[in-house]
Amino acid sequence: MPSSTSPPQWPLRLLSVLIAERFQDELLGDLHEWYHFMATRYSPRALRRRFVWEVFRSLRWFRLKKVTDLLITLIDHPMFRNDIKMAVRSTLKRRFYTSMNLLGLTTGLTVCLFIYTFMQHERSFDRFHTKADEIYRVLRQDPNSKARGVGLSSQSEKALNASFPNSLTTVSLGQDPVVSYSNGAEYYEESFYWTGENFFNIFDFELLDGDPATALSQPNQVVLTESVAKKLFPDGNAYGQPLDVKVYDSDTLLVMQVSGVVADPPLNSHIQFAMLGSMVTGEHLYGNLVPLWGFSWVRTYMHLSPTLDLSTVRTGVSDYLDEHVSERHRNMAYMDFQPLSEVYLHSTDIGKAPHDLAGDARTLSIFLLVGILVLAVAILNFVNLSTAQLTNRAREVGVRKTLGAFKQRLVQQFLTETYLITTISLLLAGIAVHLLWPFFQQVSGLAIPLSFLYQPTTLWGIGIIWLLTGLLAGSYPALTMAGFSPLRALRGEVKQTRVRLRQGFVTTQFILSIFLLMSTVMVFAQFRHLMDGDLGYDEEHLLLVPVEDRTMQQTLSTLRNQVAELPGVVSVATSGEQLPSQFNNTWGLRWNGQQEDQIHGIDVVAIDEHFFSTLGVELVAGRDITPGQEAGEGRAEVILNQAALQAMGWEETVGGTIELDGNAAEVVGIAPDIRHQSMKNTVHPLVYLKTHAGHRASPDNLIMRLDPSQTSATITALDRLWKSQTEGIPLSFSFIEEEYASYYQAEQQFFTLFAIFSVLGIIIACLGLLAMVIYVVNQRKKELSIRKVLGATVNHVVFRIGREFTLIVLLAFVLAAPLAYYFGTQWLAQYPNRIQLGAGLFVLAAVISLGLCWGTIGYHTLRAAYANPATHLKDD
Amino acid sequence: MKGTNLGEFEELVLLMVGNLHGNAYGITLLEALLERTGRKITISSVHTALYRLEEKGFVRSEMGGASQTRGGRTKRLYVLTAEGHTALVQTRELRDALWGTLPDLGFN
Repeated sequence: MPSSTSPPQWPLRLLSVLIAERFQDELLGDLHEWYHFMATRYSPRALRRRFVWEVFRSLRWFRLKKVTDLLITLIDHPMFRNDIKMAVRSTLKRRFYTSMNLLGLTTGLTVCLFIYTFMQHERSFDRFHTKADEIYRVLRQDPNSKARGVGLSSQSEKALNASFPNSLTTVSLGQDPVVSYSNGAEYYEESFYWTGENFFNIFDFELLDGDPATALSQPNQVVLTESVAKKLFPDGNAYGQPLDVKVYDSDTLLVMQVSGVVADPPLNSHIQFAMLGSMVTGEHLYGNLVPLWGFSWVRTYMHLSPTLDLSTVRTGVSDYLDEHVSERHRNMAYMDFQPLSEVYLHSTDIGKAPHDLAGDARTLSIFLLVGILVLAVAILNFVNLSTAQLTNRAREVGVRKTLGAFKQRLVQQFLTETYLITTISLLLAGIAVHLLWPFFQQVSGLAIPLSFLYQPTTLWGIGIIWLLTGLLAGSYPALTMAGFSPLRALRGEVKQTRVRLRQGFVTTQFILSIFLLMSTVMVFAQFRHLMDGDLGYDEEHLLLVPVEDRTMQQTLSTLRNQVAELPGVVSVATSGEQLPSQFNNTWGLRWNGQQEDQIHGIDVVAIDEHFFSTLGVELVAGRDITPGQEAGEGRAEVILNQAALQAMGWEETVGGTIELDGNAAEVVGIAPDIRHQSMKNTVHPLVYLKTHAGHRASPDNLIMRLDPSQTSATITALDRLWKSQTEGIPLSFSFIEEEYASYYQAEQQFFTLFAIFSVLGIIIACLGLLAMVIYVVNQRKKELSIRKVLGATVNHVVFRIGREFTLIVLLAFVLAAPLAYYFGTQWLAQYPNRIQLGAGLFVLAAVISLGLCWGTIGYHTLRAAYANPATHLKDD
Repeated sequence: MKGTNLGEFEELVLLMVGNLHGNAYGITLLEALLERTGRKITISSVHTALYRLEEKGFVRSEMGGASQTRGGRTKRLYVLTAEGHTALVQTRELRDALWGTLPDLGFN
């Protein structure tokens, strides 16, 4: 008979593993017969296929084995049975080392799982849009400095559409805070965006109610997210309802119609919004500003059809701008394009729009490195402990080899042992991750759903981690053990050569963990440096009150005078920028003696004569702005900061003349570089000036210095005054010091996570050290006892044991320090304002390392030193 | 007892078990069923029907001889029980009675 007449074996084997005993004979026999019976009916190929199908159909639920029986079958399988049995026995026999190994690996794998899931989440940003690969964010790019920014004029979108009318689509989003009124309640929303009809076409935000094509195409349409819709229309039917919306900046009340309800934007979308208004409405409100190139009120995204490539767009748009835009505006008009998939992680040099989410690719690489290091420490720990066990197991290997075991079989056996421990560790790590997830979410400040752990790609990654961990941890001890010569192993001659190697492993482990320790110290020092940094003014007890309402802004100086009268207000000023500042007014600057005849952009801050005195800042030179004088009367007065002087390379200081947007102004004073932004930013060149009410850069904030002893009374009085001035707009205020602190939230999260992971890595290393000292003391107990009998003091014995470990730690420190210095310098380069990596940090790290080392080995060393020599020597 | 009724496929299998008396097991039943009905039947569906019939007490089974074509596995041979026979007779009587009262609808 040809071989094709016997059925394929693997499906039957599989069945025999899965199917309960009482069904096996009948089913397997019948399937066999079925194969012979059907052999005449089908071609050999079809026969096999149909046979597999029959086998598959036979897998009925009631036939399957119970889980326990199934496990027994698997363990009983001849291939694994012996190995697993031996692995279980051997791990149980060496309980202490097994638990040390389990603890170390579990901790390492837990850290890995956290970091891996975190990375997967960060990398998933904006990928849920089906057109993600064809969407780009449009950026403004200064042709000279190449600096890029998010804010664009509506003209940029127009230019894009005019250059490529058919093959690209664009959408812009313009943020505008609004108050909506529903059932007599007010609802203030900052993430309200004007956006166009292409929004739902380009992006995949899911519209639950309404027509994506028309939801944002008509005037006065508004789309609500599900959660906002629930808040504003608690009875559930928001769609089609009218909604009163007050737009702060334009001071208008609109009756809008809810034209759609959209699902809340996913957590991994960098664009986060609560309400969307139709762009035609927004453009109507700001009709006189929209045509200006200087009015950067939107950010823009474009979708390229597959026929159009980006370089064509670049040259096309550039040509268009050269042809159609006047030279004066062109510098504001040049664009750059960023793929959507890069927006979240690669925008640190660009900055972000308010309410957008932003990550940092560097943070990801750092955490990847930390994850690898911690796992490496755990694996080295494992290798270490296994190597220390080699001498004890040499005899076992000798016996096995003598009885005829091949090297390959022995390697397989030891690897099975490693994988058993790795598997258990991974399971424990999985449990730990589940238990610690809420904690992780809180610390990281990221509400990453745990479901990210169960995504196929993540699971594959975890599988690979499992495979590698087992292989790296197990292969060296397995190969070494299996390579023992049986004769020498049985004689016990394998001892001496391994000591140096073991020390090498311990040293490597310590290099890695000391590196982690030093990095943690550096990250912490930099964090403290930012938090405690000098802003250049006294930020304590400063209160900021933004005035969003246009009518109130018109009479802001009157309001200021009223506020100044309130009890507990030490002094108060008006300002066109909040503190911390955004800088949304950039003007063209010319001055005598500039290099080329071109306009430079400079950020403008509208202030009054009380500004510097309220902040407690003394001018470096010149005088403050003339009190009481309205801008426009007489000659305009400006104050420059030192950064501006430096950028201009200007020699003249007080008394010089500059030209701002075409108007001459006199420089009356020079201000020191105070930090309008966080310590993370460089200080911008700035012009401080006074504007008349209604000017587009006019002050829209009050900054007041409070008497700390009567803060609450002052705020109550302020609220009363506020209510007498406006109807319906609630008073909002913030303490400037707290606002600055919130800027370092990202640093704080980074530091906390970094510290936790590093400390875990260091703990693993200490576990390894602990196991090692116990092992050494155990090995040397006779030697030490004899030394004591011969007159060695306790100090002497402690010294003998401690010396070895101290030397290892010191060596590791010397090797780790340059590494830490190198990577630390790289990391710090991102902060313009950074700490110096001085000797102090390294000394601190050295002290901590040695302290940890002695703390770990102390107890067992002392116990060995104080032990009664007789107990260890009585048998000999 | 609930569910002692015969399904259509079960009835076929049960009749076949009676017909193949002494040699009724999965593959012979499948062979006969394929031959007589021409339907597409998997071996698993025959087994499922047999297990149900056994649960209902209409057939009983015992392990029979092994052979080379079975890969050395023994057979489970099925035999019609008295209850099974009664069930078949009842089904048939019910059908006959219903046939007897079926009016001439002009299909013949």
